[in-house]
Amino acid sequence: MKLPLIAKAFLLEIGFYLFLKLGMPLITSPLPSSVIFMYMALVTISILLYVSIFEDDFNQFYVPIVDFIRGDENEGIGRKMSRTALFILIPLFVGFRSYQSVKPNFNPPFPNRVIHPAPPGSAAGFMNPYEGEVAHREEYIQEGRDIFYQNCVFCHGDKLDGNGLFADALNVKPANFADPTTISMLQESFVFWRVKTGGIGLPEESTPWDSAMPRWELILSEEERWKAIMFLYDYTGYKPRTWELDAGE
Amino acid sequence: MTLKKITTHPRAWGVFLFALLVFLSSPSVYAEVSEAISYRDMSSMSSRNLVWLLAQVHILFGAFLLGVPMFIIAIEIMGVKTGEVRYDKLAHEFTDLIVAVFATTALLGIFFLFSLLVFYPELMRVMADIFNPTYYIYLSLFLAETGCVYIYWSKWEEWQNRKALHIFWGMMLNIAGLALVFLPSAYLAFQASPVVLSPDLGPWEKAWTAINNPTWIPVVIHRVVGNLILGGFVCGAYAGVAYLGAKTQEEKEHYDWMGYVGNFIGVFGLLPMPFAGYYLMREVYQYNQQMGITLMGGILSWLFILQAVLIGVLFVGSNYYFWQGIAYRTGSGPKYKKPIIFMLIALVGAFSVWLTPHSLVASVSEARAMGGSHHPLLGVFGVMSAKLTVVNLMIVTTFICFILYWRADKEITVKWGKAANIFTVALIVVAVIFIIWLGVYGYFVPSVYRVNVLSVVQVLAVLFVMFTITPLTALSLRSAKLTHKMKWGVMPARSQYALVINAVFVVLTMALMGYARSASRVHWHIYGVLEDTSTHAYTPTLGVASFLFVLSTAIFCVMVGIVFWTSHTIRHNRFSTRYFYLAPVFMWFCDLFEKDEKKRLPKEVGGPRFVMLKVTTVVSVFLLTYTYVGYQVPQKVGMPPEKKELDLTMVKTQDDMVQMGQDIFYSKGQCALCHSIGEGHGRCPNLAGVGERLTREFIYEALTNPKAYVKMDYDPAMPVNYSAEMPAIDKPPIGLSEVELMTIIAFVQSNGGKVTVTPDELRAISEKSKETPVPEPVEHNNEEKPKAPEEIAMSLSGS
Repeated sequence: MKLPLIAKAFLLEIGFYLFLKLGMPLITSPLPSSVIFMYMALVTISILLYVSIFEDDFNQFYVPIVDFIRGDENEGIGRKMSRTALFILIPLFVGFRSYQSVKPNFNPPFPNRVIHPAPPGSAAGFMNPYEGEVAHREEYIQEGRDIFYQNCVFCHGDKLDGNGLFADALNVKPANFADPTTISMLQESFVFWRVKTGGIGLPEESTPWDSAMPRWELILSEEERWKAIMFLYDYTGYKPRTWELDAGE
Repeated sequence: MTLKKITTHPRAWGVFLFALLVFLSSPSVYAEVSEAISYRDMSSMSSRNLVWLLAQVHILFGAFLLGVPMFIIAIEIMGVKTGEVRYDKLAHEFTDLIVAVFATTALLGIFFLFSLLVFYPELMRVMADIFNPTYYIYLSLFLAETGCVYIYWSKWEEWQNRKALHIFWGMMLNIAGLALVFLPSAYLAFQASPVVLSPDLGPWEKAWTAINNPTWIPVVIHRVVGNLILGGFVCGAYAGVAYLGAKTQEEKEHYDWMGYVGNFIGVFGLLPMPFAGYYLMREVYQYNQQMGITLMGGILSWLFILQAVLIGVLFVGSNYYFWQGIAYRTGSGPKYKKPIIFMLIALVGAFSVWLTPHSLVASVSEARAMGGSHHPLLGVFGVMSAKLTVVNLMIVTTFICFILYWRADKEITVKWGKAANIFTVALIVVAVIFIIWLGVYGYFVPSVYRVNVLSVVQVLAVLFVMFTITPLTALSLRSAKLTHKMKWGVMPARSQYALVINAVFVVLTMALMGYARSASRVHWHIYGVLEDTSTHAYTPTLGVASFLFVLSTAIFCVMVGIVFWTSHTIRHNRFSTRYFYLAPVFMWFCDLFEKDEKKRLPKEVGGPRFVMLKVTTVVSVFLLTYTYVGYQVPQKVGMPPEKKELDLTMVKTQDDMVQMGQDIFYSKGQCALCHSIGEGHGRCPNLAGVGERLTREFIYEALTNPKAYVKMDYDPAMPVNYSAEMPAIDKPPIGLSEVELMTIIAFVQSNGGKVTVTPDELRAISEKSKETPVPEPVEHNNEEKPKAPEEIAMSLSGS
């Protein structure tokens, strides 16, 4: 049996939605609704685009819809009723969405945060004082390891994957340094600045930010912070972002 | 000469403009305001937003004006080469359009300039101080452009037999236009990435130093390509609307073809655009990491998601138009159903990766379920490596689409046709796999390697595909048998709406990118040099910003619509379209007397008014949707940092002093415009570890009398691109006070050395600031006295 185009499109939409909603959690973490909405919008748009390219598809898809909405003198009562029902349901649905969005609820608002808070200009000037000291490198990394396991491990975890003891108690989980899209994308000076201010000490112009990270400049010395950062890069095997090719590779 | 004759004369406008700009750039205008007033404001509307709108609409018109001649000349040459009249006719029609918008562009420029003078007098004073010699060049270029356009347009019929001469003037027009992009782009590139200007530079030297700043050339390239795209798509939209309103089949055929050409040129420009943008961003990052982060990761990062929406729509929209071309114009449309589905899936798939942000909008419980704000799987789509990969794939898909369109209805007869087909398919498959592999590999290498090597290789792979397959296809189609003649004028209305929407989205993209560029300066007029202290220094939420993009787009569309409409409907001999803004009033007035008669007539469906109404509705729906999207991303106002007064009572330890010095180093002192500490691009000596090598007295001397010593062993690793002379920082234009100077010294010393300035000393200095104890300069190496021919290396001595 050959399915009409509208039914095919409808099935595709449903199938895709189920995949995103139920299928994805089987493979990986569930998707937030904003992302599902975005992908569904894309699917819908591509279906509408596709059916409007060729004349035969276009007629198959749109003509029944237009006919249904426009109505016909000779049509049966069922069709007439369902059209009326549709026209009642649409405003009801809109009203329901409005009600949902304005009714009081107890969910916290969506955290409003940027990925990398913009540092003040002076942050570019932070420079690793141990950069050139190849001979003592291992030594500093060892010291950094101690500092990490005395201070940072509780949140960032012993595998540096953001799964420390406290991680589940924190909203916006601690950063996962093992992820290739975090510290390897950043310059060392930026990472240093982030450790320095934590989430609490960020200046106003760098917000919105949402993090419970302590302001480490009050706790650790500059040298200690640098050593800890050296350990982060050493352990994960990533290299900080640099601009000169010869310096990085 | 009647008034009408004068006002319709482009040269009259040029002369008027020239006189006006000379007057505006003369010191007398600034003399009165420069002392007291930095900003003026309006009560009815934010002056910043007014300037924003005027600048944007003016620049959009300018882009159209400079973009269209680039392909007019190409089309004209094409016409001469092929001998087909339709090319010449098309080029002529496009020229009519640019003549029609010429005066409007100038008019908007004047509005914009006046608004700047009124609302931002101090900024204008500073800019005029630096750039005043170039204003004369700018004006001459404007005159040249006016002259060229006038000659080119008016002599079209007369010089039909002297095409070479005509094309020469077209070339001149383009050269003048290109030069026109270079100058104003330098002004705003300077605002974003200023270089230090020593006070002893002559006016021309100073202007040139300021023009030759790090982001100047990338901005110019980006703009020139952008202008071409805008011109192409807007002409496509013009053809689309004309097609919808066309009465005869002949007209339909003409406008269908015109729309096709416009869209083709737009897409052609779109292909190199990501590379141009990438180049610009790279320069921005290199110039100033902070600016890069503000744009890409900080408060403006969501802006790039909004931009990604626009770019994606453009790619999908122009492909959609191509697909419909295949479906309707060729005789073998249904045969292409499968490839089109395939391309659609590829394109939308790439688009969805392109659109996925790194940190997702999620409620607390969702974020918890996801394990942080980065999704473990989708998170990898959020970074540059993925974005560049999919944008390359989108380009390849568009290219495939173009090749299919080209080959439709043609039967290849050459013997090696089959081999060529196999090669083409194999090359594309290999290239796609290679591009994806490079993208994945990019996650496992240091960023710098990815940025400088992998991305470049990706681009080269795409270019290689294009430059191999295009000539191959051309060769194999040379003797091909035509199975069906391309049928023009049979496209459905929806394809024409796609053209219109493409144009609207290009305009929106330009409005957005213009904002991104200017918002990256955050609360600075001139980044790091002249601070915006007005009440409008904050960064608005993205919703408000989107509303302003949409508003400027709408204004542009309406104005262009009116210009085109007038140039189309009421163009009598010598009646000038420059009156376009009055035309609707006249028309309405004339209509008044006929109103009663008209009422009795049935409303025309499918007539020009109906078409306009429909187009307006469709465009408005899209614009409103876009505004809605703008309000869906996180909304946050970016405030300028709080003013830190130099409060000596707060300075207790040497660390406080160093901190203070560091702040001044990166802001008021402008040191960071040239010097970097640690990693740097070598414009000036790197200050890493200088504290160890230099004495305090020497640093003082170097700051206040830079000519005294020139560091001899300073050997920049790369050729110095933006060389500058070290200014004395205790004198204007920087003019740090003695106390500030001391904190700078403390900061410089802290780089690898011991800080010897004490807080008590600072207090003593500030108390008797008149008679400062100037440390005696200690003569270091007498042999090192100035006269190093390249005085790029400043006064720092390592020995």
